[in-house]
Amino acid sequence: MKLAGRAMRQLFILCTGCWFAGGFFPVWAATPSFTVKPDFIRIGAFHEATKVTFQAEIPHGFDAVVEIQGEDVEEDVMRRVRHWDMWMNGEDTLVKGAPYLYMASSSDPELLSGSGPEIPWGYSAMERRISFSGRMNSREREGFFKDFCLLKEKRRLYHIQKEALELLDFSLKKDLVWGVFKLPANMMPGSYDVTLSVVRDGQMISRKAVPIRAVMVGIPSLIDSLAEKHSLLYGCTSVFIALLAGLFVGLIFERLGIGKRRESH
Amino acid sequence: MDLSLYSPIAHHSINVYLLLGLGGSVGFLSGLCGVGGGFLMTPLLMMFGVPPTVAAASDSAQIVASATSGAYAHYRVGHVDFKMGLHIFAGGLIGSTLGVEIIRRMREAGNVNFFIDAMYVVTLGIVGSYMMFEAIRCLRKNGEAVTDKAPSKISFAERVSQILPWTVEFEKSGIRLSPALPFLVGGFVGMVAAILGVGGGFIMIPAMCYILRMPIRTVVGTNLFQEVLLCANVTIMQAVENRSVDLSIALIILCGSTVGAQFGAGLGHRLKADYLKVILSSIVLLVMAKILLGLVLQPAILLSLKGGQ
Repeated sequence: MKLAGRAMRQLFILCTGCWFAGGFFPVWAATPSFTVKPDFIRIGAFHEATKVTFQAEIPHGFDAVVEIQGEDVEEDVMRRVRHWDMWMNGEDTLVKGAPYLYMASSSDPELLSGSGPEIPWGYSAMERRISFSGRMNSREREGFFKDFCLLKEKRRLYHIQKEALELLDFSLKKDLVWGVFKLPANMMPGSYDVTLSVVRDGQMISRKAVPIRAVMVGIPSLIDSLAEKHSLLYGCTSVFIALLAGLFVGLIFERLGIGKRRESH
Repeated sequence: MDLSLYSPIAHHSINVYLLLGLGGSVGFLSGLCGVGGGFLMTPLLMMFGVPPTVAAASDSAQIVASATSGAYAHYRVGHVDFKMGLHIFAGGLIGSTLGVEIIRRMREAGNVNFFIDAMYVVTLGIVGSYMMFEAIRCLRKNGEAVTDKAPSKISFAERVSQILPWTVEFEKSGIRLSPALPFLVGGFVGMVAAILGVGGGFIMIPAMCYILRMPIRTVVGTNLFQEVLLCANVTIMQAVENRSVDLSIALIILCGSTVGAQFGAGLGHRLKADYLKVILSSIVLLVMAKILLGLVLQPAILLSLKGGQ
């Protein structure tokens, strides 16, 4: 009797476990593996656009949205106005809460072009999050936001990829998704987050973020630090180096006899 | 091979070969036509994405180096009037300080890019048109010989200099005039140099000839000497006030411009001066037209970042 009771209890626990596992299976299954390389970017003297590659395993039949975004910054932007038949800057507007850099790509590009309060990615999510100083009606705000994104896109700091991410049937249960973000050479040092959202039927099932850092190193770091913290010393050093370089060049040409030849003409 | 230089001041990468090429081309034209290339270098850097404030300030540092090299060559043959140069620089010190302050205020107001572009349109327009006009006039006259003496006709400027008090003897140049005149000329050129990131030779050399009545033999060397001092002051002021000097950009341009200038000078001796003037003035006017179009045509995006970067 005691044995039968224990067996019943174990059966109950097993059944409950199976029920829980079945109920939460999609969430468990959607927890992705996500790797980003490199996670540390050195901005040196010969820094160029950096390719950040990512790779993730997502449940079969799901979609992926991958975003990279920088820290939120306050940007002072000015409207171009026409005065005396020329285009110059007019009133300024403070944009708050916009990421310094934003790029996104998806296995289904239509996911990124959608709009609605439930969508947590793309420009539409950003538009809900950021605020502008000054009075603007909804139409003006929409136009201003569009121009703001265009301005950032022109500086290669914002980009929504139109092509779908590569998706490979890895196994019966999993798909492998991978892609590349080309970070522009004019990116600022700071912290960036690469985020993977696993999506089913337009709904986000799970989200995973990997932080990456960009740090100025070598000569740019030295110049930046001197120019910011010791600007007078930096100015004097620049002049001193320029004077030395000029004298050095003058002496070289004197040795080569080029100066004399020029004087004789 | 693609090799880019990262500017920590502009937060912008620019191709090293492009910088060397720009330096070399402008240096070549400078050597070919016997003019400083500052007024071409800053707008060219702007065209390749360097913010105007950084382009102007970094070009000032580059001019310090190139003018030092040139001034040294003239000093060796005794063609530098240090006394006159220091008087001009005294005015230039005040003028360039004022120019840097104007840039700072315009930057705060958000219109620094427009201001620098507009100043370039005006100065390049005047300089380019004047050079073109002069060259065509000389070509029509079938190349009259250029005299090595200052003009003998008494000008308005000379009458003004005779009225001004405290005349001083400038032995090297063999002239006597009030120090107020070089001071005022230096002040004006210094202000323009600070705003545009140029040495100011294209204004200073005619001013030295026609207002200060200096002999041609001391004009170029003395101008280069005052350019060294003036641009050194502008560089320090820009570094302190606007944090816009990028030494790495300046030094790479310098490498290109010094070599280019030697080739240009070599070829310049073999070509007719008036044809060279026509070539240079055409380039100046083309650059001016490009900047003017940027001001007049409606931009694709009706927003811009304050501060110009």
